[in-house]
Amino acid sequence: MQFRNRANQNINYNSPLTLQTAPAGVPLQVTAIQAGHTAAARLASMGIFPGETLRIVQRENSGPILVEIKGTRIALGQGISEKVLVSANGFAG
Amino acid sequence: MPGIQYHKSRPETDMPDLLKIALAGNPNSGKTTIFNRLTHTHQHVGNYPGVTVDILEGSLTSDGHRIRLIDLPGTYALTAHSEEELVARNFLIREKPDVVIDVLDASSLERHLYLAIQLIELGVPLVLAFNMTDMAERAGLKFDIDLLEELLGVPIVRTTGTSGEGLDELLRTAIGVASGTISAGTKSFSYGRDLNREIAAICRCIETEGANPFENLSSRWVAIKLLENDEIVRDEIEKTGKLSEHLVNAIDEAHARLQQIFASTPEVLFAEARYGIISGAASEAVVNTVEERHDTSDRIDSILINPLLGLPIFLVMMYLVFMLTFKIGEPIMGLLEIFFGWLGNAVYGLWPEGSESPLRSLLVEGVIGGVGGVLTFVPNILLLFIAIAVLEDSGYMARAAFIMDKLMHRIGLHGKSFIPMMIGFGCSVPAILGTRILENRRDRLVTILVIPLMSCGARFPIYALIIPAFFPPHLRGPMLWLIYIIGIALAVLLTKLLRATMFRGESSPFVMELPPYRLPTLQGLAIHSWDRCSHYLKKAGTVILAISIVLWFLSSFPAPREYSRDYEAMLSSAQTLYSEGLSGIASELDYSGPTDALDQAIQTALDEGDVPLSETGSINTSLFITNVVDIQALRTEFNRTVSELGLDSESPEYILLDSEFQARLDSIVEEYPETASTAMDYLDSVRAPYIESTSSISSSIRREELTASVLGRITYALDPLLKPMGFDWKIGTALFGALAAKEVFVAQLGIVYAVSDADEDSATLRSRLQQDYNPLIGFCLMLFTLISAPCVATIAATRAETGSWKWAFLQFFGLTAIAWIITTIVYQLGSVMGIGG
Repeated sequence: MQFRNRANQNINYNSPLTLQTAPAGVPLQVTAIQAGHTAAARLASMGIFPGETLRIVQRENSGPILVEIKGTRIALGQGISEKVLVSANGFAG
Repeated sequence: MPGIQYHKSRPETDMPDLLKIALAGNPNSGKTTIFNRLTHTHQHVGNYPGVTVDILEGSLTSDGHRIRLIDLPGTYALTAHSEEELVARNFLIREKPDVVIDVLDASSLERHLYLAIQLIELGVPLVLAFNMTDMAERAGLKFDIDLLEELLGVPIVRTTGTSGEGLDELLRTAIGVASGTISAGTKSFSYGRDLNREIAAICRCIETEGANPFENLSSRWVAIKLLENDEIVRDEIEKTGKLSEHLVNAIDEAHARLQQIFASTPEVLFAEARYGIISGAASEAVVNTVEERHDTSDRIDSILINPLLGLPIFLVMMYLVFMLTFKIGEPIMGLLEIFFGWLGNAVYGLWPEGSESPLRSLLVEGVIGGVGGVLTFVPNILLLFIAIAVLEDSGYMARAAFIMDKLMHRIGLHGKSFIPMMIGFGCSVPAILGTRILENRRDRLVTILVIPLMSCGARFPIYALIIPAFFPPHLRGPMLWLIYIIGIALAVLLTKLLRATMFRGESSPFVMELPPYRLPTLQGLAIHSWDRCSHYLKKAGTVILAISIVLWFLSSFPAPREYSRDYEAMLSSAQTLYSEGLSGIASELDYSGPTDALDQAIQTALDEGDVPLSETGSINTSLFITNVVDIQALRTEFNRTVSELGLDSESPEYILLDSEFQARLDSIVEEYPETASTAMDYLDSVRAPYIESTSSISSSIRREELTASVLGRITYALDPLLKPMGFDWKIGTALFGALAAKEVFVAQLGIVYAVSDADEDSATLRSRLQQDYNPLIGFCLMLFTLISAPCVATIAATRAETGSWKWAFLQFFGLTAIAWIITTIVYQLGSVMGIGG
């Protein structure tokens, strides 16, 4: 299955996505966090760090997004969601 | 229960007299509900110097033990990254509570356990409360409590905060831990081979160098913090001078090694390790027959944060909050104003007539005026806090911030800033207090500094006075709108400026949990709102009172040594004129009684609207008095209609209205041919001149007193500053008075122009203003009041919320300076270009 992202390009599951560009509704795995100490620590204490699974519940083309991780819903601003790299690898589409 | 010992007999000597118990937990864990249930109304905001986050404290007794319960701010962790976390952590380190209760939401166990792990690392005596177990079980979660207790090494109690279930057992367990009869083991967790190794190495280094600055914390904890780049801990060690090069190198080397192995920063590594411990424990002890926990919340959210509907719904919500606080608050505030007016008069009356007592003046104008000013805010603020509490407790506040974030971010503010700014359109004071919902201190400060630019309700009477005075009807609406828009635009600009200069730095990352929707408890709402309210009263009230007294003092002293005219003589001659005129009227009516009685009867009739027949004797006199009352009522109605509709004396509507009232007047004259014209004579030739003379005399007296006073002299001296804006000293005194409260502006202007009973409906004051000034000055005046220093209540609120005078003064002087600059530019440009001049 292929999804169209914000720039309306066909993306395949294997290319690096950020939370800002990843599709909503499917399980995603966090691959890396490219952010400064404070932001990374804040994310980590909320349970968002490499290896964790989460799901984007709601998003628009830009602006904050809503994710679900470990059973709770967390809102992430646009700036910080661009720094969370995810992949949809290994999940049945 | 393996690992936990509970002895029946308790050594009483070990127990301190007053147990200090701290409540910790994530926001949304139900911690506050538990706190409220345990302490009922016996709670207050704790007094910890230098701490700007509220720490609630309460007291209760259980099992014969007196307990002091402290509600720490809700936090997700105990890092050095946020003010709340630091406050909580510092409390635990410095105040050394006898036991800590960590409240967890059982349905979200894994995340809530993160804080618990950090508490265990800290080594505090700990009890875990698995809260909301009812909801968790309904969602299909099953816990093996005994196993968890063993894995974590702390006692666990199931509770349901809303119903109170389990709270007794929780207290018993906590007391048991505090007394040492239940062991809450200081479990040392394993973070994995590599991290363990590094921790051990740093720990050894710390111990050999004696670098641990905390007397009751383990070196192991310090080691972990240092590895996590905890700045606060590092600073503490540096302060004691023990941050040796050896230690610093050891830390750097450890980081390098970890980076090589994991390609990750230490904070993240430790977070991962902790979550690893948690999921390990959870996989053994928690069975999840997974169900979507958020069903109802999901459905609500699909409407409330829907891309299309979300924003409009939010605007409606804000409008409702606004309406609630001001529409309901206003009548109550009105009642309070009347009450204080009555009180003022009552106190005034305690002194004999004509007394010049400064004490009376101080009490009536200074104290009652000042205190009354403070207390009239209370209904407003109370309602606001209730509204905020409802929004927060229900979970909607988080959604609102989510929706507004995109817009706010572009300005450089946090999504949550929008809410206090909206409230600022009603009154800055509750708006500033409302900035508490912002977690980041920097965001809070910027928002507080900028809130006064949201043109508050008190400025409205100023606009209502000036706009109709200088602008034709078709421009009035747009002018008002323009002023508000300028305020908003300036707020945006100022925010950007502040964020680019003094408050530089990355916008704090917007990471926020959206809790499931909940019905707020009445008890919680009541306690929270009232507590914050009394907090405001105490802190802001004392400052407002003090400044009001100072302003009173400045405007009353020194009294003029002598007046420019003999007002006494003028007053008595006015009185004589009145008596003579009244005698004339009496003879026209064939009234034979004393003129005093006639006068009394007329006044009573005018005040109360009905005629005391018996007093006056003759029918003629009664008819006369009735006519006086009716004609006066007619005229008052006419004037009120004209000012309400804002009619120009040349407009066709006015002419129409005028002829209508004239017709009614004529019909009265027709019906009472003998007495009606006498009544008009009385009103126009006897009463009106008397009222005019006496009130202009007393206004002139007040005006001279004002000029001679310190206040008057100050504003006179400030003339060079006022002139570039097109203002004169008269406007200056009004502006100064507006410091106390913006509403004072109009009254003060009235005093200076020696107009009696000035309020915003006053046509006389407006025409005087028209004579002295022009539309450009009028606009500049509104501009200046919009931007310049907010009222003292606002400054007091800023001081209270920021914890320092520095920000309050910055706000005061900064805004005034900006106001001066902008108004001067506008005035000068406008004059040069010949606009409105």
